[in-house]
Amino acid sequence: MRRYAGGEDAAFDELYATLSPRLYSFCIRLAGRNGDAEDLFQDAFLKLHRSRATYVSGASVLHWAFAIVRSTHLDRLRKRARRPEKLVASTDEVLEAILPSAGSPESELHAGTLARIVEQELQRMSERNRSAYILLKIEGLTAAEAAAVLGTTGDAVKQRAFRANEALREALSRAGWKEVGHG
Amino acid sequence: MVDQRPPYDPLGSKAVPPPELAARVRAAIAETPASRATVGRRIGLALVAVPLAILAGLYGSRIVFRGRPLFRLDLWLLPEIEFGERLVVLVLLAGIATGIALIPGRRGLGARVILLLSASLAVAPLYTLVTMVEPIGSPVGDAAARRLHPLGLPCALVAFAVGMLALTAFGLALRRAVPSAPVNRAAALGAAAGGWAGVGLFLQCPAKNTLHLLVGHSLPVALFALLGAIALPRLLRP
Repeated sequence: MRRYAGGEDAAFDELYATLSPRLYSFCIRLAGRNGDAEDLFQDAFLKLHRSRATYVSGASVLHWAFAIVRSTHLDRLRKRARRPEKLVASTDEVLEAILPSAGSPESELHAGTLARIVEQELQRMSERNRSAYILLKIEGLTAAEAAAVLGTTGDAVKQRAFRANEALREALSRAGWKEVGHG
Repeated sequence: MVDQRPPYDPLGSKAVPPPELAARVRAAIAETPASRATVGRRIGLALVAVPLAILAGLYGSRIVFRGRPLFRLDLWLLPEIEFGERLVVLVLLAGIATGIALIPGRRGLGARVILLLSASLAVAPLYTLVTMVEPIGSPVGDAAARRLHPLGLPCALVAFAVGMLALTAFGLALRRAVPSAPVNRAAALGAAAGGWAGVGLFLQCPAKNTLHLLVGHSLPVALFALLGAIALPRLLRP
């Protein structure tokens, strides 16, 4: 990223290869629809390119890129609020994009059902809770890192992720999934 | 036969963007110019611009409001230590707010939100405290202050000019560089610009009248945080 930020265009391919899988998954989980996610991904990369000189050397590229994706997503939501259109989240499209084919047919079926419920519930909850949950629980950021990406406090991030977690737990329990205690 | 593959993790799985999307991204990027001025360099330029903004605002007021002195007439008659202390406190106040608002931080995403909020909210009350509690003056300054507008409207205009110049410099320094918390960052930048406008007024205006100080000096300083929060976020977002 340092090379790219310094104006070395040739470094883009390397950067794209490193960042794109994580960012694409993040876009899918944020935007919910595959078509939307692709537009979000493209917009976000374009913004990343335009503001590459603002990258601070030594900082986490991924966290910086997550913040750009989320900012782009919020921009798109704001635009959409001004020009509303009816949107129906297509969970199947999302899942098709996220879920690689792996495991036995049975485990795939279970995982698919689980993921479908989680994705549907993620799309149903507020953007704040969703983004906090994704960064904290799925992307594995710490509360402080997620707080920096989302522009809020660590406590707020934990609270939002907790609310999202509760909503997911409730949705899974409604669908007949039981919580198994550890130990 | 035992399945040797790692446990299936649907939530941790990573999707791969389709190749045609990669091609689209590359094409879009090839057509889009990107600035090469680093944010550090831009921040440096903005910091150089601050004293120039103060001087330009004060000098401009001399032209617009004929007869208005560049610096307060009693500048050399004031108690040196008291005046110096207050000036240092005001410069520190504006400087700290500027640092908090501009600093990219360890993560490159700016200062913590709580610091940005503190900077946004603290500048105007502290400025008011420093300038209004037992305001310093001299007989020469008091005589000059009697001729000033009771509400300090010209002072408010001077504050607006200085603050706008500083805010523009700060906004350009962080243009497209604030992907997270742009409103908080913009409010902090506004507060910092207001702080520098306040420094300009402290150097120029000898008024001790409470109403004049509140309306003409403190109010514009306070309004800059709001102005920043409203006007800047679009410029700051990537």
